[in-house]
Amino acid sequence: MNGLQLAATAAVDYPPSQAFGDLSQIAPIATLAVAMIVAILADAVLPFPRRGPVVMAISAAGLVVAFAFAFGSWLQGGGHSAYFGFVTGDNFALYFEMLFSVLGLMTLVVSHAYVRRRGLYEAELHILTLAALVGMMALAAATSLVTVFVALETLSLALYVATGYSRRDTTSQEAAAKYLLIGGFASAFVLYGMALVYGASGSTLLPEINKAITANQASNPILILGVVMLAVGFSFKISGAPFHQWTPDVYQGAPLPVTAFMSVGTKAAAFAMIIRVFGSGLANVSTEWQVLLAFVAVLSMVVGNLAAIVQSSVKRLLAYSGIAQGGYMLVGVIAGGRDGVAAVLFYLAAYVFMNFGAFAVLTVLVDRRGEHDQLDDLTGLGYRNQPLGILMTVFMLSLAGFPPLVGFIGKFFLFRAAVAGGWTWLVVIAVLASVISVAYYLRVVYHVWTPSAEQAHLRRMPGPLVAVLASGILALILGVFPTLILVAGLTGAAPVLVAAGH
Amino acid sequence: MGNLQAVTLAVLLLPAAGATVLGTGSFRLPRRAVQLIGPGVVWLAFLCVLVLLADSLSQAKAHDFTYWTWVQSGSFQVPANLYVDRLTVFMGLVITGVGGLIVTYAVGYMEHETGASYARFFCYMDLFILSMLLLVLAGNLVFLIIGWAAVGLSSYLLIGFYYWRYSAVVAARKAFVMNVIGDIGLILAAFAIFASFRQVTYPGVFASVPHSDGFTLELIGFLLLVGGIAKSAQVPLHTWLPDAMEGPTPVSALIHAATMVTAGVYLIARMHPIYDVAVFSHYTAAAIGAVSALLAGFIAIVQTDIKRVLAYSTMSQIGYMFLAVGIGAYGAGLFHLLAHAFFKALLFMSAGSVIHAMHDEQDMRKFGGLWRDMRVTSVCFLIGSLSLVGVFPFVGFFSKELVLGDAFSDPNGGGFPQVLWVIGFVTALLTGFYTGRMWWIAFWRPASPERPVEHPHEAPRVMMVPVVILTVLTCVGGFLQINAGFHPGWKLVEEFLAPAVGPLGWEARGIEYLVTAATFLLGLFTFWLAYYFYIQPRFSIWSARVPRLQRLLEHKFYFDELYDALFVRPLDRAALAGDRLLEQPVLEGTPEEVGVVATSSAAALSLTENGYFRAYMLVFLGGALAGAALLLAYRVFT
Repeated sequence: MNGLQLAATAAVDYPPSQAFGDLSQIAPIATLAVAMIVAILADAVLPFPRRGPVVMAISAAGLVVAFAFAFGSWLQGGGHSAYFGFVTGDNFALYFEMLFSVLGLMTLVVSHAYVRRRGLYEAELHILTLAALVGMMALAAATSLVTVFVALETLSLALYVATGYSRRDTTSQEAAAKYLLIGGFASAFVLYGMALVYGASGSTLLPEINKAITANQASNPILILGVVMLAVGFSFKISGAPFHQWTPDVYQGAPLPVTAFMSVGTKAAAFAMIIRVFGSGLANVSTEWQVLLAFVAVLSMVVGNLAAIVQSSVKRLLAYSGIAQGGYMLVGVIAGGRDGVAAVLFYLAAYVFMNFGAFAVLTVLVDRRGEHDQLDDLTGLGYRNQPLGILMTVFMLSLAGFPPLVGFIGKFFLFRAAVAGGWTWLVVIAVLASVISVAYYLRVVYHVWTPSAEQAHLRRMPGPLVAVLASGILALILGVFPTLILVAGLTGAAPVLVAAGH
Repeated sequence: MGNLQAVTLAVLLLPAAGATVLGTGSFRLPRRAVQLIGPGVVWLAFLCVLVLLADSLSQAKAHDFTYWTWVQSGSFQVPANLYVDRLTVFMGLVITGVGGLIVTYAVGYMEHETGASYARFFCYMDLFILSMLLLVLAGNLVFLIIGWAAVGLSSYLLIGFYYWRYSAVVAARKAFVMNVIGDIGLILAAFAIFASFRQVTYPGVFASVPHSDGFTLELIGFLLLVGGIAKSAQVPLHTWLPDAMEGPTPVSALIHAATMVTAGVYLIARMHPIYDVAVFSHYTAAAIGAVSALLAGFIAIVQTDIKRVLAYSTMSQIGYMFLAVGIGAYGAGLFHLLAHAFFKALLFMSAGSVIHAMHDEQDMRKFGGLWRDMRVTSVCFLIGSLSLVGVFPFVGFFSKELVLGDAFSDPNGGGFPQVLWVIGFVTALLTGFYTGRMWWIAFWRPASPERPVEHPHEAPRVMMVPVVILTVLTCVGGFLQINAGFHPGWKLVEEFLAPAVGPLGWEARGIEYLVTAATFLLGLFTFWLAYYFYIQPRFSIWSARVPRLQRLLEHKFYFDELYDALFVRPLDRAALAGDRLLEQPVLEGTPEEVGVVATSSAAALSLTENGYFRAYMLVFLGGALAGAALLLAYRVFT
């Protein structure tokens, strides 16, 4: 009996106690969904000037409560499968739910300051962020191909709209259109892949798929084709080369807070999906997806790092850097095992802080005329606002992997796991690629500390400053005390491995 | 966390806090605060080290404080641990004690710097102290490497402090590159240690040494030595040290005399369990030390810049320390390190007072007449000079004689230590000569007509007090360790250090004392002889007779020219070629040029990012097909 039938028949006999138990497993997601609905209602009934602040307050409250739920469940050792195996509240999901809650809070403060400067509406942006967060969390919690797809689309649709949020800005519109079209194309790949996997295994539930696909099933062409299509669609979501081309255009066109949010959020959610689906559902055809992901990883690291060198816009530069960083993380996914998955989880947390921080620095440069994201706009930043300059330097050095910053430790964990897993050649490429990356990261630093004619001090923006400062401090602390998050990463990695039968 | 553990951490945190505050607040802090914070944190750290000293005097055991696990990945584990034994405490005392005096002195010496630059200087100084303390407190190889590299970095920052002077920037760069060569040696050594022992902490490494084979240990020993000689400016990686005199004089005193350049000596003493077994690399260290001592002594004879004379004498004296630790006389080497910290810091700082009074003139031929005009500084400088020469009762006498005596009496090595002793003996005579030359020309001779200042005045009190304190230490420091036959059993330094580095393996020979007396008297004689060469020329100038030798020395044995021809110029050419062929056309082009390149030549590149949706789709599909094809190929071929 497959999962869908199971769900349909069981609905007849569904006692309230079980309903409550299931709901408690997805409490963080449900909280955010409720907060989003309340926010929409508030936006509809309140007088215009008060909509923004109230929606922001509701969103923040929702995020804090969601974090509290996830953290509480984490402290109790994690939850279990719910809704007939369609979602789960295990430690893996909780890890991401906490990460996304923090990311959401940082996004809120940055968006708040940004819309004020640009003169945009505030409330809708927060609502879209919440919708995307619901999708991201659901993606991390999904244990069935059906829920994976629904969550993926929830997050994607919200982001398509958010990308075009700056309505009078044609580049924003263009970016949204491109993202939607290519995103739809990639979703088709994912959906076809899922259909083929379902056809080969007879189930949409990941544990069932894992059981159904035995070693002799591994050469089934339908299954392999499904894996290829899934790998392509997933690679699109983490902007892995050669499915990366939307990334620079979309990152550049989208409003800064949206870029900051999706550059880290989408990537984290997509990696959660890849680890969950490939690592626990398709563990028995791991050779196949490892080859495909290695192909994507190598191309991403090479193309991303080389293309980033010639960029003149920091947003585009960070887009290409994100492509390369995705490649590094794929190395950890390919390595797999407890250390590999934990390393990816650690690096994702690190990446959230480093990359979001770097984008948040750009937010401070925004004024009514628009964004200033050219490298030349950063010239002399270190003299116009010293703390900001120092923090931008920290983010760039951390992304480049300088010790003792978190980026170094993260890369170390990733590469070590890969070497231990026998992927030394991949690590060699990754290390060489990350040497190239120093060139463009340091170029940003160079601009920040080059004196410029512009001596005016920047207007203070408390929101982004808080986000930047928090990110910077975390980037430093996690570099010196990496075990704080690594232990969490190891705990979070455990359920996936159990599900894969390791 | 125990009390002692917290104190140890405070030793590092204090200068770290000082550097952070000075670095971030450089534009806003009032001058007074900078003057207080800069030296203040070093003195507080000194107090903390005194607490550690009290503990290590009461018991000889080493502490291994683990604060947290820094990196934990599979079987590889790096704890964040600090290792405190008597060697650490000894080095800590030198760094914070002498360092504190020097940073205090700098308050006066740097007074002409304007606001932000003033704070920047003390920020770098505190950063240096922090790095140096981390280097000696490190309990594992990773921390050691971090401290080692950070010392090189802060030295770079301080040498290039006057960054508007081209020569300073070039000197800083040279020092950095030379130091990085050493860093690579140290890092490779750490790799070798980890690869063969699977350990990164000192206790773990030393416990594994007896189970290792000779070749591995020799390899590790040589690699460590590469690190040591680069940092300690020994042949052949010494060329950066004289150029490093471009930095402000307190920097020269702190980094290039008292602390940083002795890191190599510390490293060998710290790794003594390895060197005690790895005989070849151990004796190589001694031989390098002896050769460096001799070469530097020769070069110092022809230098005219007072700081460069001192720089070469530093190199020479560190050569003595290498000689001592290289034959296993760790107590002697470290005692000479302490003595050298006293008298060389004293020499640099009194030379700094002179340079300060002479409006930054450093050519000593343009000084003269200072005995009359700057009496206190002159007396201090004379005491430092005599100590350098090794004259009783100054500290240099006791330490140098201990080094030479231990080499003379060493029964091991089949006469090799005695060869080293001969070199050391000749160097001692040279030391007397070049020190005498410096003293007579710069201080004693009547004022030079080219002297930039008519009536120089003495240094302000904040500079004078540290100089006087160091003078006193130079006068009495020798009585910590009396080696001479007339007072047996008064060997405080050796006894203090013995639990950490092991006791000396042999007894002094009776005849050693005769040799000691000869060295002392002949050194004094050459000091006096210099007077008749340079002030009242009874002898014709030697350089006129042997111009070739003069030229050889003036070119410092052509080391710089050799490195230029072998490394610098080929690398320059390669870099220029790379610039012409790769950087300018490909990387450095403005975005428009990139666009031109992309559309005209690279068809693939123009396809990839042209903004057209249809092109993106094509690449997407192509990528999917390529991936599928790759997988197919993989399945077919495996």
